[in-house]
Amino acid sequence: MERKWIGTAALFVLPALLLFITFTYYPFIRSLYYSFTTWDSIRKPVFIGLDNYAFLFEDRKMIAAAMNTFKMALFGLLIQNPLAIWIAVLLNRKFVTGYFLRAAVFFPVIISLVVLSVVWSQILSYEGTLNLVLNQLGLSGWVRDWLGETNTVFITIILLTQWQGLGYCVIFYLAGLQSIPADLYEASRIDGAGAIQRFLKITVPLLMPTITIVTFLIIVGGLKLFDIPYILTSGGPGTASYTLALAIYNAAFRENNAGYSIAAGVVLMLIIMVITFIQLQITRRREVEM
Amino acid sequence: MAKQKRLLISLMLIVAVIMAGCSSNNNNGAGNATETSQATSKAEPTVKAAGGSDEAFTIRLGGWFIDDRTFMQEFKANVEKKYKEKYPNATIQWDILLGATYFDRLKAELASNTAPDVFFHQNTVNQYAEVDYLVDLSDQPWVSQLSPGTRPATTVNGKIFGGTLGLSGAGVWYNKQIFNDLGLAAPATYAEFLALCEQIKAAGKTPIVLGFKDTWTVGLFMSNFFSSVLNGIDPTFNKQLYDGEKSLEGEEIQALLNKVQNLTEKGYFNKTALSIDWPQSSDEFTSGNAAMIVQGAWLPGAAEENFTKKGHSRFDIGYFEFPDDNGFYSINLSPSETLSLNAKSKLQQQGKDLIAIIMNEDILGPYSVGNGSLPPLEGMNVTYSNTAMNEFLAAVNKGKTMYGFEAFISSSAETSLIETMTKIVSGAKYSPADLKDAQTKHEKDKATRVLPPE
Repeated sequence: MERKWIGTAALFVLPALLLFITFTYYPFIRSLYYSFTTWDSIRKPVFIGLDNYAFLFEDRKMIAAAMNTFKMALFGLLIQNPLAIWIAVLLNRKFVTGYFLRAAVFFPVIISLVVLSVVWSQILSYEGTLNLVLNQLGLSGWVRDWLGETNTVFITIILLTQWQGLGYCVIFYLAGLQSIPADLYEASRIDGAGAIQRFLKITVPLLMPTITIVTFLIIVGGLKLFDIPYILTSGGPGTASYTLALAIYNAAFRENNAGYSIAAGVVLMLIIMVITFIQLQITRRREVEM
Repeated sequence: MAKQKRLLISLMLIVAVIMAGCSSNNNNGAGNATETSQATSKAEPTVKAAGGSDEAFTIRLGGWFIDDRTFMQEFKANVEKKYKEKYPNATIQWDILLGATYFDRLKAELASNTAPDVFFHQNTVNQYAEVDYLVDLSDQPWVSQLSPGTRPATTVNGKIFGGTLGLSGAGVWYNKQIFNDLGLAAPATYAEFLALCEQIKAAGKTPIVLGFKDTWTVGLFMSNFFSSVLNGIDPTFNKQLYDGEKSLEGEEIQALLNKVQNLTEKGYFNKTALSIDWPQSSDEFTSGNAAMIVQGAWLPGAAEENFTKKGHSRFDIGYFEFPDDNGFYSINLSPSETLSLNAKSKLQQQGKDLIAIIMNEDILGPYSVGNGSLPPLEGMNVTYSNTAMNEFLAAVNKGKTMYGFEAFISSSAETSLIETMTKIVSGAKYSPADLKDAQTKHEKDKATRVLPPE
């Protein structure tokens, strides 16, 4: 009976499995092979062993891209994550404009990236709105091409990315906060616990499962960042706003070096796996169940 | 009974998945703002090719540059009209995807046997011929008319695998009104060029407008800026660069980057150089805010569109190429769009006829005038309506024409140099490590570069 059940279950899983094998596993295995070749994606690949992987550690552009990528993930972890919790705690209260503010916080998430990049590139350009406002406020010394200078471009992109993704994290935390029973807070107030104590002893432990998920998403999103630097700056000026994902894309499509690009992609995958594994181990241990 | 039901449902699911996976899904038009494909595309023609002029069929023609400029629309209309004369019931489906994404899509389409029957491409004849994507067109009637300058670009092992629409060049285009008002003339040496930049800046205009948000303009500027100096040092400099006898870390390249740095520090570029693209830089030029722009020979045509459609005050445009310190200049001329026949197309004869129609004076003449390219067929006389193009032609005839140095280094090295250029224009100083990076990449990847014919 059990064998028949397993057979039936296998039949139901088979279509999805076939899809996965065809469109995920087989291309992945094939890509692993190409990562050991020099290949322009047109002619036959030529096997070169580990040369692509070795060059990754000599390539200044990849190293610069890796540094930027880690900065992005770190900023998300240390700034965006706590900020999202704080905003979610504020929005979790009942007040008149609560729903409007929730929508306003979430609004950047649903804006098309193309629209976002067009609008912000206008605002941040040398003759854009931001510099106009700075001039009007008498801060003309601060006027610059925010996306065109090596010392301002990446921090600008980080802030843009955080602004765009903040609402996504807030919604997760809001949902997590609303699943915490209100009577726990009541009881703690009766026992004389202050706001900070309630936050640290009740909110954070019970929110830990959500923190695990959101932290995971922030780290992975930061490590995979591609779209905003691609649209706004193409990684420039120089390599100031390069990210690993963008460097991988350019290696494949601008430099016609598909083998090297795949090798970089494999390394990025391993980095993401290791970092997220460590993060999940740390945060899951702190999860508390009711 | 329950078991049979479960088995039946499972089988239906498997069949549904297989059917979904096997369906033709070659829609190019949906959701892409830059795409102008006129019909949903199918890899197969609508009617099985069997020859004969009256047959109804759809032939796909792929390209990346056919946009809404007037001469481009006229080009399309002329091609369709001529093709209708030969095949009255045929339809040309224009698979256009503007921009560089087209080349990535074309690669994927060729690999998956879904590419257009006839397609334009650029700098990939050798690679595509090597893997048998292209048809040998050596026996076509127009081949004997190809000019010596265009023939080598589409020749592989003695066989011709395509035609080109012309030879393209680039250089510095300037606002003659601004120059006349300031009493300036086209510079004969680099020192004169610097002097006129200073005068233009003092007059409150931007000397040179850059649109470096489009990275291809960086490569174009670099190629033109470097060309005269490197070819003036030694006509074989570029080949020596490829062979390793000269280096990207060498004093020649460093001197050129120092010059770009100098231009940036003196404020001769627009402050928005890295945040505006080619169309916006073109607007800056035609609106009279900037005196000079480094662009391809399509600039006069684009300027004419701006004068007509955007209401900018018309002015005469002049041309010169960057001179070196001694007054030498060379112009980079290279074949523009290459037109080839897909080896897997089922419309071989129809495709050859389409290419023959395009590679004809009637079509190429107006196209060359609008695009500012030199015609690819010998004996073709083209009269450019724009005086700037005549100045360009005169410069071509008077000076040296050569391939740009970027044709002799790997793509990854060129990308590295482009990034260094944007770094310099942003106001940062370049470091020797930037050039070392470019040289290392050239040595690693130079085998991927197919050298231009000698």
